[in-house]
Amino acid sequence: MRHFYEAFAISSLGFLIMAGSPVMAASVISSPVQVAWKSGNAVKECQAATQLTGVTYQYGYKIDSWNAGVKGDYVAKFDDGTRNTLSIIKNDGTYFDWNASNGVGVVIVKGGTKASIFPYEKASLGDSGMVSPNNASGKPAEVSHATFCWNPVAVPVAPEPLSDKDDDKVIDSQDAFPLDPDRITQRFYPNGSDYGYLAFEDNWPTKGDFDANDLVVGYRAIETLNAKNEVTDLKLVYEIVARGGTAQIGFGVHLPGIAATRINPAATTLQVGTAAPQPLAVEGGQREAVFILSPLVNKLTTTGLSWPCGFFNTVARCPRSEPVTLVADIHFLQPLSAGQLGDAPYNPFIYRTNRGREIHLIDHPPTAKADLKLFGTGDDRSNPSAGRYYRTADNLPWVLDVPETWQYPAEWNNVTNAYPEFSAWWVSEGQTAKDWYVSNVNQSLVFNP
Amino acid sequence: MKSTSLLLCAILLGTVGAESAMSAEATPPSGPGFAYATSRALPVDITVSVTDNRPALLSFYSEGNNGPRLLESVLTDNGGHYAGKLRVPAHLTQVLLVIRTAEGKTSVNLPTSNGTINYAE
Repeated sequence: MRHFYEAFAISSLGFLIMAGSPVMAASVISSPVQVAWKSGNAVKECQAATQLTGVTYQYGYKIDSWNAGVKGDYVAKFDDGTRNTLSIIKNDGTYFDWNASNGVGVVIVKGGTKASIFPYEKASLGDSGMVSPNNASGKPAEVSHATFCWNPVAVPVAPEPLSDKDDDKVIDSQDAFPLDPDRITQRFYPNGSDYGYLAFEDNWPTKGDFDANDLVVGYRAIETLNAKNEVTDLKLVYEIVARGGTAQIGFGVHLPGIAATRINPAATTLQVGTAAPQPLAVEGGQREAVFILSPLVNKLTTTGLSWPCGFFNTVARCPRSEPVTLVADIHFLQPLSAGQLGDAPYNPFIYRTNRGREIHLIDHPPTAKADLKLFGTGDDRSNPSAGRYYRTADNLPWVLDVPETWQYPAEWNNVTNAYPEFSAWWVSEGQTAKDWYVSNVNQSLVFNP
Repeated sequence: MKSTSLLLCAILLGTVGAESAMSAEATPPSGPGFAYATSRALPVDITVSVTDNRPALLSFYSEGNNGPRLLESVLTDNGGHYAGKLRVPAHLTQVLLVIRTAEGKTSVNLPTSNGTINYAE
């Protein structure tokens, strides 16, 4: 149920705060308090809250005439275009829960002659168990009204001219490529600023030490979209940050389901480090698009030092080496739907000196160059007929995909010790500890140069 | 350390005697259905106000240590509606939606906790 301005709303709050109205003086608070309270409109009550929290609020909204039936959405709209949808979820007249579309800085719950003040150090998108102060009987009074005060996430900007230089029917201010009618926006994974990380064990089909650093590659996928949200081209930015193995390995990526003939060979390039981009061809003998990005990772990551400093950025006491950047700029002859291209990071893999010994993410298929006779040998328990690949008997992988800035384990340190929450994530099959890679880091076991 | 953690360490290390000895009494390992996915695709349904039948540009951001990080930008239809999917790291609990129209820009934080991203003006 939606309520539009059924309760008293402030039409514009670029206001100058006047004298406050809490009856008792108070110092700055950071946790809920109960104070004597003189009711006012949203402006005055937010001003009074400012005296308690030390924070000036630009916007406020008061839900008056409170009773147990107050529930649903209250949309606060202001003349400057700012909005905030306040949702009262549960309400028995004394206790209530709420959500908001814009973070709220303080909530004032009035009951009797007092008010409960709930301040939020970080703007909150919701809270539960809001309650009015106790009355003379020692029980919470019935709520008479509630006021929400907040500041904006972003200030609206002035309208921009409706220029459309490439005449693609998308105005320049909304067009990431205002001079290219075939390209409009971009999709990033894991995001447009940081890298995700692929952490390889290189001993397949035998289990390794699970320090997940035989090769560690940062990745960022950038899909460029046209006005139909189809993918016109794909940029894959990799950063080889660590090599904790001595085996000779190559690194490549496979785009499952994308025929090699769909690649535009004239426009597809690979840039290694700061060298000029070079043409990047689909690997010969492949029906689908497979690109070998570095056939000799060890050569790219040589340190020139003796053991253990021959490892590349996995031993803290060794000199740190600069990561090596690989940028594959892949263009398609015709745009692809998102469903055709699949999900980033697609199907990255490494392979040993023997080209057929490919190592992929769990349940990601091998390429046509893989030696299928290796499945089921060593510790591998793949079942290709069931689409199950690169699993041990215990369902462990050889490769991890971490979609966040990550500190990989230092040499010889098991990832489960470096990241204690990994165990809970693994045992729960991903239902808990979804942030295992950032939530609890054993700094003594990760690589800290 | 919980017994489950000990089991996992034992399985992964394999050669550590003390931990291997404890693994027999611990929880069974992860099941065969677990694919170690660290992302999820969230259904998105957004409707915003537009004027003159001009689409709005919707940009989704995640919060990073150095500020918002762009995930994706998409265009609505001429009525201001977009329905699709947004693939995000599984641990994200909210995204920032920035709405750009010919008239200007607004933003709103949207929770992902219920497995969808919905917003209607």
